[in-house]
Amino acid sequence: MSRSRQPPLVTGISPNEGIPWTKVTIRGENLGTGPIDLIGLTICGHNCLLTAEWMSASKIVCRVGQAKNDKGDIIVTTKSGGKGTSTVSFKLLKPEKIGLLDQSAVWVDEMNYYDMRTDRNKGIPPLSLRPANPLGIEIEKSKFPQKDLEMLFPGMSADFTSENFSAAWYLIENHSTTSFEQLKMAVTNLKRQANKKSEGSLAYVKGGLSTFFEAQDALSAIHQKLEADGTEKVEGSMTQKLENVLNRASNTADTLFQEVLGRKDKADSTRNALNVLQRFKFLFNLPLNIERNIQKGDYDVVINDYEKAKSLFGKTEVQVFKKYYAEVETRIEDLRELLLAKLLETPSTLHDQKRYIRYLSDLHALGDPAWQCIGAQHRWILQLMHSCKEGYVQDLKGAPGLHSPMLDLDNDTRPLVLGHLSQTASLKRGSSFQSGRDDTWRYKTPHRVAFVEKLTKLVLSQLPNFWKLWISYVNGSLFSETAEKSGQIERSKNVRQRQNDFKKMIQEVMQCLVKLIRGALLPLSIPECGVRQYGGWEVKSELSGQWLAHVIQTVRLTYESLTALEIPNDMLQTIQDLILDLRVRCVTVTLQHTAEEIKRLAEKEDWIVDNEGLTSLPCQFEQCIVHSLQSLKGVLECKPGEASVFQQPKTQEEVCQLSISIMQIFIYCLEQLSTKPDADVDTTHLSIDVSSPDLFGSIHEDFSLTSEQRLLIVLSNCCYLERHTFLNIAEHFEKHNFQGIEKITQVSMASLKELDQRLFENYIELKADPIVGSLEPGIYAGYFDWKDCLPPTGVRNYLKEALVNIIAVHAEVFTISKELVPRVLSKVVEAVSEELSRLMQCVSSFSKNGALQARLEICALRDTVAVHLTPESKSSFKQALEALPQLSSGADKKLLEELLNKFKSSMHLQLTCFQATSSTMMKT
Amino acid sequence: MAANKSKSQSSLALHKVIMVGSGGVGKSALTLQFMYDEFVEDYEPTKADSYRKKVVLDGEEVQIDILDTAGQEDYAAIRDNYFRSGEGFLLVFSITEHESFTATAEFREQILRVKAEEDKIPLLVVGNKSDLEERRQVPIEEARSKAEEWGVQYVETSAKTRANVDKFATCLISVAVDSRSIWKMYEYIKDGTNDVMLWKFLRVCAISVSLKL
Repeated sequence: MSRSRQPPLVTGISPNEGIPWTKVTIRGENLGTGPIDLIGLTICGHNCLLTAEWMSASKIVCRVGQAKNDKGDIIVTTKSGGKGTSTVSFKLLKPEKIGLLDQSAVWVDEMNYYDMRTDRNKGIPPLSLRPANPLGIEIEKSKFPQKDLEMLFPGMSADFTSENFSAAWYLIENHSTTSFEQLKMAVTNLKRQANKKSEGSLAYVKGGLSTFFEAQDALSAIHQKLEADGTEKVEGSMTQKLENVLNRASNTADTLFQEVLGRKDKADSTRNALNVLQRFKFLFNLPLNIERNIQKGDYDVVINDYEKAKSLFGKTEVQVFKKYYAEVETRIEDLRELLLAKLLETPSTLHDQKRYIRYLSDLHALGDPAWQCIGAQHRWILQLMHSCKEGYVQDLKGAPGLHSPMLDLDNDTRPLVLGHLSQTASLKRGSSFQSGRDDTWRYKTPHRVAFVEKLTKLVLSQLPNFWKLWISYVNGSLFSETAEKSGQIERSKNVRQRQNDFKKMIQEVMQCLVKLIRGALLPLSIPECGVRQYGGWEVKSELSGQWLAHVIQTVRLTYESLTALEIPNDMLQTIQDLILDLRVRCVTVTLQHTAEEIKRLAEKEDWIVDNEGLTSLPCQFEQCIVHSLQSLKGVLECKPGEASVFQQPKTQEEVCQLSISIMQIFIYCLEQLSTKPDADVDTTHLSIDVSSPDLFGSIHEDFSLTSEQRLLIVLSNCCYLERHTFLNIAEHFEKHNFQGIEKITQVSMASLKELDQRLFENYIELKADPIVGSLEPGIYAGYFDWKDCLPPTGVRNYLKEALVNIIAVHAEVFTISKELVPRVLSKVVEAVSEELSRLMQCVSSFSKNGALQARLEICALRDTVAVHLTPESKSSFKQALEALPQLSSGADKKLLEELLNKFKSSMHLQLTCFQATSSTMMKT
Repeated sequence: MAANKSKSQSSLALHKVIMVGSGGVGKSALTLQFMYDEFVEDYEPTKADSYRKKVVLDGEEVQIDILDTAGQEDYAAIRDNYFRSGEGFLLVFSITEHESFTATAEFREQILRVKAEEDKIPLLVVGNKSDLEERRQVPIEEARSKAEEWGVQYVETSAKTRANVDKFATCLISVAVDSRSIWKMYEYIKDGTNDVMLWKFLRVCAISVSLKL
């Protein structure tokens, strides 16, 4: 019973004391909604409901009764508020002490309380029954103490209506000061009153005289008749005859009315039956109603009806009811089965599932439908995942050229996350430098990537509902209040077991997800036995790093969404592991791809040299690496809860090796380029960058690259690599938290230096050898003999030729790279000077003129290339000079000076290149 | 449930206030207006009525027990008993009847006589029927000066229009929570070192002071 209102509370009583039958006004709160609502009222333990008059919700008037307790509460009970309380109390006074004619400190009602029980509205004034002053004389109240009187007349009373009336007491009390005359008068009064009373009854008889006579006549007629019957004595006694007559009369009456009565009985019974039908219409119509409502889907109504029927007729003894109730039960049983089937049906929404579970629990279905539903849901998710995989594998096998139709599965439940994901992914792809291919790429999403996306989408769309279902299952919100009590015990018993089971389920789903992704992307990481179940991807080619990064993004988002569901971390650990593996895989693959790309970079060499002496190759190489690192940025970043990719030493080592190999591949490329045969070089597209502020640009009009030039270009690139690119790359590696950068730099620098050295030596060999080789024949041309020669007139042609050759080398180098000039020239000069000193030392003897000639030529050469002298070449020159005999005279010295100056002035134009170089060198 | 409730009720502080005054001045009307916001038109002489109301005083619930006594002289003999049980007294008179005002002095005398052992008896003089201004017989200044003479407050109310009944209620409560009970509490606190009690006491002091000022 629901209590719509507060219980009654009595807060006031007026008056607060009194004798029985005192009229009291009770005030308070919630004293009922109407006279009918008031169902109980006790004062001092006495039930006063009979006399209670309900006035309002805050006021009741009644009369106190004859209670045992002399002080007690006023308790009001109402239908709407139940049993109430009171804050005030009533004190019941002893009625004996306050007689009808006594003076009382409290109010005594003058109504006839004796008649109150039967009809309180028809009170007869007490005075008409008991005159207050029976003696008819003035009453003078004595000041006689009541107590004394009580002691004087024990067991007596002054009340003349009571049995133990004591006239003396009455007189003392009321007429103690009355004179004798007066009392005499009172006696006559009393007599008169007594007379009046007897006269009264006589008068009554007089008034109804005719009636008396009629009665008298009737009685005498009966008497006569009886007398007559008695004299005849027909049969038996008079009374017997009378009895017979009465019986006959009764029989006749019976036969007369039998038909009517029978009809009435029948009608009554029919009416009764109809009544019953009407009254229990609910039950009789219930099976049909249930059927209809089930068809309409109004399960709530059905459940309500069923509950009602159950409470009304569940324990009925009536056969008809039993039969119908059984019918209802079978229908309900059918409904339960139907609901269970619907519940276990997949796919369905969480809302529907919750609804069905509630219905089932309301219907007191056996077992644990919610748990069954969880199980079914779990199986369904697993099945979905597998079928998704199968679909993609089939698709891949069947029509590799066609788009997967499953890609267009943009159903309404597609979570926002994925929309966002595809957006960012396409953005990312758009920013890559293969943007031209982007459009086609988008539609050519690899099957496995599409599969992973679909799979994660699937898990993300199903798992939250699954999880929520479980949460509701655990906190009991699946069950309605009534059903909960019945299911409570069973469920709480199982709850621990269930928790473990559910944990296993989630883990199974997670593992399945992870294994399927692994099967698709990392086939080596799943055990042999699971390959058939999870793998089956007959794909030879590896996914590109970008797609892997995309997949990682997808899986990460999945992980985030799952964490947002507040699924415990330990259940998601497998996903975390997968992400780490994928990341490592992605890094490896990307680096491998980069290596491939670098390898192809050699083909892209266009041999266009900028004014720094560089081609675009080092730049492209750097870009290539930076780009691949950029694409790894997201992968390398550690999301919350993720470990670093380089956590494991093995991975670290691997990545380091891959980086080194990238570097080495590039170096190898350079080497290949430098040694490539001429024929291979496609020079058709070569042109000079006219816009470049190259000083020598015009000279190279019909530029065609020789192998020496290529060598030089590569050499200059090497220098740049060493000085800039490798450092930049190391920086980039650092930025992306690569480990073992020092090692990478060290190893690559070393191999670069080696290459550089090799190339340089090659070049020097190529250039210095002809010059050096031409010295000896040049010196001795025209059968020149040091011992027998004319006084020198100037520097001989061979030296000039050698100088011109050196200048040519200088020019060649300068066009490629100014920076290489000193390095190359000093080496060339070294070789030349060495050869010269060797030649001088080989000369057995010099004539005076010969010595002068030799000295002149050596000095001329030395002064000319002074800028590029190294300690080695200096010592060579010194040795060469030491091999000559000393100058004998000042005239010789003078001549030497003169001739040198002459040489310098005549060769001025040719020699400026060395100065120019030095000045540019100074500048740079 | 009911048992719990009554238990909690009985544990609340209880203050007994007695309505005193000549017959027909409106003691019962005032009481009923205070208790139930109800004005009773018909006159029915009171014998002795009990009312109890819970009021929230500074966040704490206290119970005020109002004894509405008979004003008629017939009951003069039993007044002593009532007065003995009272803690605070409301001397009610009707402003349309000067006799009822002079009677308050007699009532006060009687109270003081009965409660002779107490040094200070919380009193409040109430002039009722203020809605019948045209029939006023007791000038407000007279009533006020009398109240001042006695060192008590004077309130003019109308049970019919409910004028000043709220003020009356406040004064009633202030009378109920009289200085005597505060001193009682102080004595109690002085012995123990109950901080909470001391705090409560100070609060009650503050309230009663603010009410009386």
